[in-house]
Amino acid sequence: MWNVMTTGSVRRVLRKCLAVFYLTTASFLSVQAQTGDTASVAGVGVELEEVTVSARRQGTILSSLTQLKTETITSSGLMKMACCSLSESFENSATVSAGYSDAISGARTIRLLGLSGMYSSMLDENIPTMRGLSATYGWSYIPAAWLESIQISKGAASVVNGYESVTGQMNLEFRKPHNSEPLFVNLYADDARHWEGNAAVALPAGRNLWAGLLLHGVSAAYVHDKNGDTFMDMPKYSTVHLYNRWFYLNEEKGIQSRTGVRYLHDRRKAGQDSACHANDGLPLFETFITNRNITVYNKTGIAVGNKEGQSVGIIGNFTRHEQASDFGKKAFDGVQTSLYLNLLFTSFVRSAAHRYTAGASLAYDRYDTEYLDSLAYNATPPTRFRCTEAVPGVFVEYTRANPAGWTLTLGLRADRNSLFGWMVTPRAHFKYDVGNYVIVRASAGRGFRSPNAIADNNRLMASSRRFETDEIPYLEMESAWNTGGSVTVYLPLQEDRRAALSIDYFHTEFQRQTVADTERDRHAVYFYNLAGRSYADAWQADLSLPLLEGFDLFAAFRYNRNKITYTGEDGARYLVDKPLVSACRGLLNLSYATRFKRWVFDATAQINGPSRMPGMNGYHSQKIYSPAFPVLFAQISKNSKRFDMYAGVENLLNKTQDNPVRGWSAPFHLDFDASLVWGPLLGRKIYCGVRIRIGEIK
Amino acid sequence: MKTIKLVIIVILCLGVGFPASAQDASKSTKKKKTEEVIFKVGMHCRNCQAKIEKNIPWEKGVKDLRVDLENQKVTVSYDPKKTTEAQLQKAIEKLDFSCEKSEDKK
Repeated sequence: MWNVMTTGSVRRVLRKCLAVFYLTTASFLSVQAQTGDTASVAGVGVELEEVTVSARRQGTILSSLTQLKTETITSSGLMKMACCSLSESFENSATVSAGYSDAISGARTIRLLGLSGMYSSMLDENIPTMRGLSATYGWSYIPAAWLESIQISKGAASVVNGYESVTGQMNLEFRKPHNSEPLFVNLYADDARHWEGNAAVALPAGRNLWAGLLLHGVSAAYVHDKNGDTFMDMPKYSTVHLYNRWFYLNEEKGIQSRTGVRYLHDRRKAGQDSACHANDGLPLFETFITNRNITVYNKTGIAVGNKEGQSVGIIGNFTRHEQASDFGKKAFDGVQTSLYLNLLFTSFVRSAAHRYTAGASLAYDRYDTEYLDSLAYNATPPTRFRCTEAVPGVFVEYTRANPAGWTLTLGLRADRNSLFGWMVTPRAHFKYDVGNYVIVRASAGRGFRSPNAIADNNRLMASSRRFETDEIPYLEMESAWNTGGSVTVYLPLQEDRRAALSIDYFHTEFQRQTVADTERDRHAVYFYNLAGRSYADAWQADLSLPLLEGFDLFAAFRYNRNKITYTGEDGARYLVDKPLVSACRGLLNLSYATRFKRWVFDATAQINGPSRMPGMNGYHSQKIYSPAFPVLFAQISKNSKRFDMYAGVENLLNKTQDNPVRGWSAPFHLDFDASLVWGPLLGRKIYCGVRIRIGEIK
Repeated sequence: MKTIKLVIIVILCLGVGFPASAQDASKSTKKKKTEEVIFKVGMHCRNCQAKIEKNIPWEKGVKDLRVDLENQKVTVSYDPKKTTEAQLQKAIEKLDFSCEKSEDKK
């Protein structure tokens, strides 16, 4: 179609497309700037001047365009490893660390700036996702094969997306129906007889309409107990995840709309199984977990007026999540119903150098959860929590782009939470391009979050600990300030290659926080409001170095210092290192690809530093640290136009945490605890897979 | 011992890439055997560029590809024993682009 357009009509369309582009991607890009490092810009045929594309993209890119320091894990990066799920996609990133939350459920969790993933904002193409109950197991449910790229930005995010982001933001870009091949299939298997299949269908459904269907199915039906503790190393599970997408684009009228329906059903059985445990008449510690989720959304942008880039957008999202989980004699069931609406208007004052976005939003969440603990010695009554939270808010964000090379964004939003009252969220971002080779960034901002004490600490279900729930109804809204900055230096090398060296530091200081105190009493967990300091410092250095044509090196080192204040029964305060947080992480990735990536070889080495183990004898317990441990990954891929094959190994050195299920021989005893996870639970994994593309390659 | 063996196997496997690299280098010394053609192609956007980059490398005989979106030029190095300019032009046209041989020098 573009081939037959005249220059004039191209310009007209371009203006409208730009307007729609600004609007539909505004939430992430308003602060991120036009993230041209990703594969496509809304796929609308818009050519942005800054954009460059390379046929041989690196797996991880440090963008020079975005206003916040943004690490993009590209499609190449997502194919460097098995990357079955989103949580496994971060193994090549020092920014995000991922691990198992406990030794039973198989739930994965991530950390950004050393803090739990619940303090970062998760976006599905700029729509908030994985909030509340769905976050507990959600990191395992999104297959990497569905993704085009992941953008990870550290520091306070745009106010346009809401008040929740404290440590940063992660945006997922999925395969688009309008620029993907008609059929993509990914099949995967490993030596643990874990089978996985993903498919993506993309078809035109009209002149301006495209439809897409993403399918994901997993079967892990075999019991493995390599360490002989009678507990399965990983749960048996089956997952079905479907995602139907519709994309409408009318370039002449300047309308772009995306609609999606997503359905997830996951069942898992974990803990002890008669296949690996002769129960001798004793009850088994069995775990059954079921999650069901349905999500429906629409995101529409319409170019309005005559100003270039002026547009109106509306985002609507409905989610219902049901969770049922039994851990031995404990159970936690819950239903979350959420509605999110965001209306935004983007325009300029005088010129594009003075851009602003203003709007209003409504977030509605209803939780109905129940916690049961039938362990006689805990004597915990059934506890039901029901709450409804409605949060209307307004926001404005102004961006000043100065030709001298600096860009300043100031954002402010005010929200009224029906449970917690008013919240005022100011945020600021500054970027300065010092010549062509140095970029300085700084950001500061505040974030809030509603606590879900039990769902947020679901890992503790895998223990005999008594949940002291009395304080839960009195927990306050969590709030924190995040400040930080980075310096990135780009060093030109031969031809068009360049190395990137970046150093950043971020500090998160909590004003209010829900403390889950597991150290006052080894047999209990106490939930209460923070009294005293809680903070996290994160330093990181990254080096991206294309050594030779096709041969890339990525190295990173991160250091964290996390402190939290516990309050004893007598009111005394104890400022301690946050338990189970690794103090440092080093990463080295070497990647070599022959011309056109016909062969790709990847090797990654991680070294994970020690973590402080929770004190088992009160706040004055002797400090015990987990050992540092390395993890090695390697993969070989043979690619062609329509068919790729890959094979690899994870955790090559077969390092695993010793005794992850404490007290496994008496799982209903007081001392049973499978929540103290600091390292890998699975040993070496050998895997292989294929990717097949059918139809026109776009 | 088993672990050491595995490490050695992986290193050897990774080593396969370097001979391949050496092959690429040796190919460059044998450039006499490849020819180069420049096409003027009706590309308008990054998606057009991506489409060329995803398809043309896999055509028989293609040894190298450079896409210059700004000047709408596609430079293809190819093995004349395996393909011809006409076949390459046809392959680009098959992707719904206008395509004609450019007389421009590199």
